[in-house]
Amino acid sequence: MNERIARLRVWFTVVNVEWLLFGLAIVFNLVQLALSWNHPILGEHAFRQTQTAISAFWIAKGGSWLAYPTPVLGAPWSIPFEFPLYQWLAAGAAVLLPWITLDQAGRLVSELFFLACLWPAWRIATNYRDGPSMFRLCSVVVLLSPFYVFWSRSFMMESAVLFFSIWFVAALDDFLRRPNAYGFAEMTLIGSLAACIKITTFVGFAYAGALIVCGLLLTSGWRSWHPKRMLPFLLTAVAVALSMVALLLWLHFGDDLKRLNWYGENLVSSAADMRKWNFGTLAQRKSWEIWHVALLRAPNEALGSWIVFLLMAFYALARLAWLQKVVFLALIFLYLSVFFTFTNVHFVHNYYQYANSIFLLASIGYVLHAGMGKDRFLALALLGVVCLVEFAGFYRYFYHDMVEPNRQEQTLLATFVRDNVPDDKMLVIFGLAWSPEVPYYAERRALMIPTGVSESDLERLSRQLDTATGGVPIGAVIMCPNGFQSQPGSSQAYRGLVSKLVTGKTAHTVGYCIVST
Amino acid sequence: MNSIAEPSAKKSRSKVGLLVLGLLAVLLATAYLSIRKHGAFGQVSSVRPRMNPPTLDSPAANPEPLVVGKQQQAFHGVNSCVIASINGMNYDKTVALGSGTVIGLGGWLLDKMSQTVPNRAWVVLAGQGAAGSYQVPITLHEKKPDVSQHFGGVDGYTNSGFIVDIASAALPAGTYHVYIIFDHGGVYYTCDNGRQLKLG
Repeated sequence: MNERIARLRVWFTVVNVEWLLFGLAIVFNLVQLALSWNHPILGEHAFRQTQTAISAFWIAKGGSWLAYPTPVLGAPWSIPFEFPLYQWLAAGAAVLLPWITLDQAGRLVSELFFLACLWPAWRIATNYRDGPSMFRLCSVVVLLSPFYVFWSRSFMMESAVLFFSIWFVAALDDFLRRPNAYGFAEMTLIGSLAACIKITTFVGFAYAGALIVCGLLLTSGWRSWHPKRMLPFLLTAVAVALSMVALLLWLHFGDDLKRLNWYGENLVSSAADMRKWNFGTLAQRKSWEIWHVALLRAPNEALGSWIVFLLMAFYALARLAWLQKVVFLALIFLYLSVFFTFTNVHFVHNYYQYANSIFLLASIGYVLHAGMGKDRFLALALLGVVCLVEFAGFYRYFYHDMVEPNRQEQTLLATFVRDNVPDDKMLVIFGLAWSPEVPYYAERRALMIPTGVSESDLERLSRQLDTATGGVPIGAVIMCPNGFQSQPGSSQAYRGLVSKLVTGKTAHTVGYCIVST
Repeated sequence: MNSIAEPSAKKSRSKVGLLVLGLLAVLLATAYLSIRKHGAFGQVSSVRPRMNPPTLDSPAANPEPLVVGKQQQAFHGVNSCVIASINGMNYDKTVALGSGTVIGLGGWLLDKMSQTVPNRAWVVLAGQGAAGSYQVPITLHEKKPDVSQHFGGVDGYTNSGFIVDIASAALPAGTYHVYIIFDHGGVYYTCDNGRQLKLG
């Protein structure tokens, strides 16, 4: 008996405990994926999930890969925002693995990208002293994060771009330590991919790269300033510049396609509304709300409770060496900097924090790692607390959304359309913004007319209906409650358009909407 | 920051990185060719399961004569619901529908006393004059995070939304007062937004 206890004691080293938690954390993620496996992607931010999925669906149906379809705003159906690598892989997985549905393929690809982030994270960590331990602790904190567990099993590209962004930092870090042509090529290609897939995610990692450059310049002393030794740093700048060129080319390509759509001018990257949507306003940056998001809402979702962050910050500032404090604060800076770059999207959509909550979580992992070298048992106890609070946070903030039904009206409409509208016909939809839930699950293309479209645009649409539909026959007109009915300027134009659309069709009540077929 | 590690045995990391990128490209090429092989608008097998919402798989509910919350029963009015939508419109004024039209209603309902959503609730169509009064049961299933947030983030209010389709063929023409009754511990409570419906 004593011998068995002695053996257990030997096994329960800190390293083994870390590996055990690491393994359990991966299993926990896979269990949540399994629990979501048969659910439609109609949970939180279904708009964004189905927007990604509808493109993957039409790519899988033979649509263009570069000018990829997102058929929700009428012909010519393509309004590219992000570079569609994730959509290609989701579509490819659905085709190559015919026993899984597209929803499942999207979830699987997303989860695999999330877990794949461990590889570049390992590359980065092992460039530093005690890297493996740091990697294990940071990974456990990230893998058990309620926010990452939830969003990694969704139909979103966030984990894909996170993977490429971390990879970019790993490639940059490796390149600066051992410059070679392969490293330059890797850094440039991965940086370009990450920037084009989603610049709002990549930007934080570009800042991280800049901090690594500064750190290496400072720690390697005056020798770095020799022109010959500056070359890798200059080449790094060239790689980042090339990534930005790739992004600009992609945006230009996307904007040209968007302009062909009747609503596209509102969606091009230079549109005032889009800039405001992405970057927000100075007033937002100066408001208390941004701090509420950054210090309360996001830590609650990422860690289970903002109190954990507060406790760890106190511990870090009280107990860690000054260089360790610098690393901790640098990670917090990276976390916060993204809020102040793309302010509005972070305000409005919590899933955008997939881009930067990882820095917050890494800072907690780093403090735990640094604590292991000082107060091992205290650090282990804190690790236990962090894990427990993360579990509780997952249950509190995300579990119910994951397992309970949602968006019944959209479900009902999609089912009705699939049963009653031939699949070569399209839908015209009022009152559901341009959220693709109904067209995606109905497997039909759509012309969705969001509330807020001006009277003149409605009249133009009425005159040029053939252009907006691309000649595809209209199988159903869906009218849900919308602002046009009471909007003084546009109610007349709305009634004229609706009357033109529904003439000769029969109205059916579906939920609280009317579907004319 | 931890000091920079010796870069031994890390020479080939970038090559491995490029190899991973190459494998990804091969995977994508395979997917691309496979999709092209199917041809445009080819078959993607079992894209997604058929979806039958649990409470809405019948076309429309038939109203029954009002039993719950009759005038002679004790019931109390509360202000904890909104009947927000009707047949593709915001329900913020008197609405007129043709006789026989299916009445589609959407909204939300809370039981503030138990800080949750009622288990038993009905939409009531109280006819004026000889039209009679009718009830249709509603189930609260639809997620309404905005409602929950508005009322202090109470978790019990999350699934406070309802959708109901009511067959009106059996209803006499006339004007109806539309409101909600729910059961809390055997006592019926009324939630009335003053909605009016002209039928016929």
